[in-house]
Amino acid sequence: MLLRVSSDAAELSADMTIVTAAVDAGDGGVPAGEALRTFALAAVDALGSDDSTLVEARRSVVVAVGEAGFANAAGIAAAFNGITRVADATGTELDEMSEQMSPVLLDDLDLTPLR
Amino acid sequence: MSDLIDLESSFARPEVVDAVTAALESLARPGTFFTGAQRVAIYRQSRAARTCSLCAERRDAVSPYAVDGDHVAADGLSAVEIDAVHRISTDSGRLSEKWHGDVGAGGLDDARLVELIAATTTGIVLDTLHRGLGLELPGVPEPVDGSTTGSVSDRAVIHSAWVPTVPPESADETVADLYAARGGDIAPFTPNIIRALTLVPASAVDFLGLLAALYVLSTDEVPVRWGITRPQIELVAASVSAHNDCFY
Repeated sequence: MLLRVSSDAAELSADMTIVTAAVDAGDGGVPAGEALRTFALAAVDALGSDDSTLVEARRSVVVAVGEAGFANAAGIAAAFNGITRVADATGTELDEMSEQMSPVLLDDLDLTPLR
Repeated sequence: MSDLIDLESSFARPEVVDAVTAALESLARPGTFFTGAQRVAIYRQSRAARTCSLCAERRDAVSPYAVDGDHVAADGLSAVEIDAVHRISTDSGRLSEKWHGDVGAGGLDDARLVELIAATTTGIVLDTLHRGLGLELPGVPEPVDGSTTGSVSDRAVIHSAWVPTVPPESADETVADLYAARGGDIAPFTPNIIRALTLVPASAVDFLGLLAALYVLSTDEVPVRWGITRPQIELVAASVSAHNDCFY
């Protein structure tokens, strides 16, 4: 939801389906989107396993958004790797506000099966 | 302890370095129900889960209940506690209300579970950050001796989760301050995720303190020095969430 709100505010035409697309699906209307997604998912997946994908993704995101952007992208990926687990493990439900805004978005992203 | 020289030279903002230090210290200290040694053991188990063959088998199965097997007690943690750490670490998207009931029946009541969730996910956040930045994982901290506090909120109710959470309207000072600080520009609306750990206020304060250094819950513009825009931030956030099969 915040991706839609923020991209509208920035006058971008973000394609919401990029969130669940394959990592090589392009930027989705967000500058450096593909590099950021590839890096974030590689960081999450690399824990305990070979991180050769992550090494390459790290280089690409530094080129795309610079060193500060890279470090903050790592932080956000880390934060959400934790937040999602808190939500899942506590059984936290979607907020009413988000619930009302979500049905179309759920269909767009094919996320309805996760409910 | 993490090599802060490396973290400091990794372009991480100073507040991130400070938050990592605080989070590691928090993990090592006695908590609400778990001793410092047990909290450190939770951190170690969250790492061990990534190479656990039982967890790998469960994750690949159609249902985690399709796989027989149990974790065993170790490191001062019960088998139920270790299993919970492993499930949260490797397959949280398929945790269910049945799972919540099962761990409760196994002795992991809601308050103890909330602290375990906070400690487990703190470890995961720290490790993901370091791995993402290309750093060695933080050294597991030495546990600190001392007594647990047993301090649980008596204002928590079942609202929007399996575990009780504190409503904003009846929050005491600690939780009220937390809500005010983390609501950003959408306060007084309190997202359910901010409430999630408030049954054990110390756990909520510690975990959200770490998150606050990494992410801002707001639709305001992000400081230019972050080098990344709000749409880029939300793309990363949403992508990780979808990847982790997290509906929230």
